[in-house]
Amino acid sequence: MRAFDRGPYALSRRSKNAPSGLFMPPDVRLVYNAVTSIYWLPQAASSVGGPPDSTHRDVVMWWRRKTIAFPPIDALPGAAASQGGRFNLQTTTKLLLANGGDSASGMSASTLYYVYVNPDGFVRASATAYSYSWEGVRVLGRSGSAKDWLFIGYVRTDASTNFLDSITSRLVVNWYNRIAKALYTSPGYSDNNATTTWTTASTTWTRANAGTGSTLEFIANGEDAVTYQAHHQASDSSPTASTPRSGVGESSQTSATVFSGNSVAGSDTNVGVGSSGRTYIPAEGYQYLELLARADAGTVTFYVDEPRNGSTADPAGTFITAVVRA
Amino acid sequence: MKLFPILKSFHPAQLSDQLVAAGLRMDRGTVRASRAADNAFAASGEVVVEDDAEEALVLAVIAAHVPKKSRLEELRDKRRAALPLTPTEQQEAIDLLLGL
Repeated sequence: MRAFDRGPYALSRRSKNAPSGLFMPPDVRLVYNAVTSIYWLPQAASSVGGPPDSTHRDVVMWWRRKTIAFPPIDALPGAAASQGGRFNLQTTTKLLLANGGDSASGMSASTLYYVYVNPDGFVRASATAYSYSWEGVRVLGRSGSAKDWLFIGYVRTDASTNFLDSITSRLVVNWYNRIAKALYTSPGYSDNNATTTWTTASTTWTRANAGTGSTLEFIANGEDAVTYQAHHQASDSSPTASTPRSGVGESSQTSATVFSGNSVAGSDTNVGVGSSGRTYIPAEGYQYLELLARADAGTVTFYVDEPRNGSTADPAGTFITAVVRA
Repeated sequence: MKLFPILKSFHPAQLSDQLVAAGLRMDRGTVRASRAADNAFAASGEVVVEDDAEEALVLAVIAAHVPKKSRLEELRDKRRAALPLTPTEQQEAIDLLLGL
């Protein structure tokens, strides 16, 4: 009996997430560690987003007829060398070239990278997209050492060349063992036990709250659907009759794919609501959802939150939320 | 974007209208405010305008701004005080609610 046929992960070899011939333990994932560091390690489902679980230290990975033993939690590798580290990827780690060789430098700002692991457990990023091996597995390339690098996910750096995995930015994304993750933002939200508002006088779609906190970012894998929902509370301004509208730009700051409006004339404290959203399959790569707003004429006021009135925090009234796989 | 704090009582929507009337492009700007519930006036907030906005003009509009309740809000306050609306005021309220 081979190692992967025994123990608590024996069934996972037949997981629908695992390509034929590839044993992928069910909870081995790319996990955000710090702004310059991510790990590829087993992770307990109960600690999503947290550190690797020490109870999974003996998990064995099978890839290209080679077994990889994950290290104990207390022996995780430290800062990776420029040639990369086992189970660890840093923004400064040299990128992989298409042929499997090293490039001269690490990651750049605001750039999408493909993440690969080799049979020794070294994790590296590359600007080169995956190819399909003869077995149908996604690898860096079909020849030379490139075929030893298994594609395991994506990362995108921010403007400061940092990794991001937060409630507004899901930019560390797994190809195997994906899980549903939440995205949420309420632009301008302030938990101050008072009503918070922002206005727009634009008759064309514009970013909510002048673009502060109005964006949700993620990396689409090209096959999983993404569901999002936007909601607003808004009023128009007297004396101009106008209809406040919110919408969602799918990777656009000026064009709404869906919208909702509410007609509440003549009063800045007479508030209506609107809601819109949809489910779609974004193209593979970096994508974002932008909460947009506009007026018919004059100024409309969006209500971000209201006083607590017994709640533990100000309840939000204008927001956008989404579920993505990462 | 440029941010201008507002340190006086103001009406966010009216101030936005006045900024537009003064010639400021508010297509990408906003007036942020924090206020008590069901209160049209805010005690603090900020104006966000385009980078090329004229600072002196923004400050002048903010300084000249005097918050005033909308006509519908005035009529609502009257009814809240249990005062009757005249037939003209009733029609006025209906028209405002209809957006006419």
